[in-house]
Amino acid sequence: MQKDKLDQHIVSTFHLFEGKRDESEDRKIYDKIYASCLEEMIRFAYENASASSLESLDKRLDTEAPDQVFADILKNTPNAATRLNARIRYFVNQLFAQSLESKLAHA
Amino acid sequence: MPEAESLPEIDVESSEQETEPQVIYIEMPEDKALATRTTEVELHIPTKDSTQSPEGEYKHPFVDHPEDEDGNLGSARLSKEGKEEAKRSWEELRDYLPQNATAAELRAGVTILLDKLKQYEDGPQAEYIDLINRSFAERVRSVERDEQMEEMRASNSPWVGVIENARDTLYDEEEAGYGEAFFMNFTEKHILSLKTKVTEAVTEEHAQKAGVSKEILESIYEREVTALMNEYLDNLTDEEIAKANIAGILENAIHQKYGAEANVNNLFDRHVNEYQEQIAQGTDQITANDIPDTIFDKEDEARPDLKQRIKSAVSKIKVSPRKVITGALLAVGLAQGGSSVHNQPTLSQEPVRPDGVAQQMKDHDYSRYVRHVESDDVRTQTTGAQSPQENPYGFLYEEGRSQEGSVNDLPAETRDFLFVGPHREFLLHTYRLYNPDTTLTDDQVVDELRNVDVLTGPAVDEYLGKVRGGRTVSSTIDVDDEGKVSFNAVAFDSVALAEGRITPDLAAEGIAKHYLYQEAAKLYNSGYLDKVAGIDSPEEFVEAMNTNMRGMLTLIEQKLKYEDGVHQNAVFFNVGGEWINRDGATTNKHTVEDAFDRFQDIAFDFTGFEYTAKDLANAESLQDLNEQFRAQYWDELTELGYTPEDIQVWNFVGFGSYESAQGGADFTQDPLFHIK
Repeated sequence: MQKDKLDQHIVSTFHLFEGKRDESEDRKIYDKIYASCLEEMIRFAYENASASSLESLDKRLDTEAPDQVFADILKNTPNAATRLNARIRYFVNQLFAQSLESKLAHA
Repeated sequence: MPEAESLPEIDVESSEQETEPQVIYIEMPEDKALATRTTEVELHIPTKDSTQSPEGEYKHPFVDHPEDEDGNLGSARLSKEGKEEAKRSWEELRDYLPQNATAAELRAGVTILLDKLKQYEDGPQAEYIDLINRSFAERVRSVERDEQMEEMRASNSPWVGVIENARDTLYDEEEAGYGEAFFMNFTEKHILSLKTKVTEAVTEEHAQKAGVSKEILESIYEREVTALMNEYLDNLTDEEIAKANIAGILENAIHQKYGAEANVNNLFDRHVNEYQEQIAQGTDQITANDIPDTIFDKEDEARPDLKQRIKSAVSKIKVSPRKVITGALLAVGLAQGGSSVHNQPTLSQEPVRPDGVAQQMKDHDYSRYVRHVESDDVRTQTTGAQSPQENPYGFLYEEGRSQEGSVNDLPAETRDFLFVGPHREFLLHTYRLYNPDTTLTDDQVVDELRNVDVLTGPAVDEYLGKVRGGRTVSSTIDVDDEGKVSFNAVAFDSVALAEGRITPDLAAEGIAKHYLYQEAAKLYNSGYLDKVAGIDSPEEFVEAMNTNMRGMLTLIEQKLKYEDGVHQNAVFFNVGGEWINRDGATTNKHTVEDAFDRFQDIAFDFTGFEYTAKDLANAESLQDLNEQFRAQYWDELTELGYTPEDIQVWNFVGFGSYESAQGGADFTQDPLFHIK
């Protein structure tokens, strides 16, 4: 998934920045989704990368660029980019379904 | 049919003997998008003149029309020679395409080839070309299924939950009569088919009405039907379990809940208005508060360590999550060469067999073929490794991992479980494999094993449950002062043992892998791998073993074939059959012997006949065994949607059906044993 594709997917799925809500609310949703996606990416790393490469994760995050740290950790995971793309995209879909259920349950 | 000579792209070589099929070279385009390695695909297509029977009747050597009991000719199918030719021409096509070609790329290559062959569709070639087309299509479909499963697993799709639930509910090793791998294979096949049904039930029109993408609507419908299937599986009685079949699971679940008239399409039709209304009402009103605060599901709640680790990592990240995610995706994509073949190095246009394997080793990433082999499956230990002499129990634990406790520290129930039945059998087998001169009796060996340190702890569990089969058996590698490598242990995970996840099959597979690792180490130490593939350091060797196993196995195969006289196709069956053939290699003599030992057991369990290794190496006996298998399971399997080519000895031993797609053993209904 290209950078803009993930972003497009999030924005279009949740109907963000279309003037349907306050922009500040759209921004809150947007940030919250990305925060959850980040957790999902880390979870993916823990499920797929080798234990030894994850050992020093916290230390490396103190000093190195986080995107490079994760790229390095995942470099030996077969088809990491493709699988991570699929994982995050599907995760966004599930997040939408859960959010919708939550909205309707409390409506 | 037009004369071949008149066709511009095709060069027909005249055969000296008219009875021999003429050889046709199909020129393939130098399509950079497909990263060509060769521009010709060699096909054997017999001309009409060369296939006259003595009676003047045309008979295509690659096509059979088997007669039924009444003597009526049946529909066309590939003859034995035809299957060999189909396999060979597929390999030609694979040489043209990149080794790690996706299903879409394979399909593109098949389309090009079949377009060329269309010129021959009229007349006697039509049936053969149609059969080749179907044969190729199934191979492509098999790769596509693998891709779909990989994506589903990676994305934590709810369909994977159904597959695992089906295994837990419906599969019983003792009752089934076939292996778990077989069960999982046909379950995956049918669940993928159900997923397609669900996808087809949702249309663009529906999505437009709902104001969301089709993908989102599919996702919502998938949540409903997978929950329905899980509920159905969870509530089956023992009697229903005995009769349940995977192919009908969704329809049955729908019938049970919504009545006999309901099906996938009308259930969606029934609900689509509801979905559309809810989505239209709800989407624009979603607020940040509606987004779940935590991504953690029940499984994660049971794993506080993971939750804590994720929280800790998140707390360290001070830049925007979007930047981290997109940056990491981009960087890892580039590091792994991207998903497009356009980024791959240009390969030699010269024919690549056999020396070209070295070039493949250098230029290609075979990692997609190394399914279920974790990246640290083979690891380097430069210090502290013990030889079998220093530690005769080395195969029971793994260096560098937790070794606290012993078998006796496990709960009594678990501990005892390790030493009865099949676990005892393979522990003894493995012990004797590594201690061939021991004078201990079986009981004495068990007493010894009860007190050795074993691998315990959660490390292995991090892998299990994520990848089917898990990594429960691994080999460790030692590097001496001179830089020579050796594999000194096969490690079995005791937790997996205790939980029954290591079956004798899996253990035997691990042992077979170990043999292959040892062969690879010999090739490295002799300088052969340096000479043919530029692998000149232990680190490179380990990396090749981790990421390029198929290429490595090909080298081993060649070495054995040419120097040790093991015929390339001498044995397709071996004790690590699934794994080894998935990676496209024949194997060595040791695994062959073990294969027969194991196969004898399976054959006895299945048929009640005590076959000797000699019997099993004899084609007629195996045919007999295969017939018994068919008699018992054929109808059931065809009802499940299996084609005749799927149902043969490989499935009998439960080894799945994706080997052919991975360039390994081809399917045939004929016996696979051809010992020479």
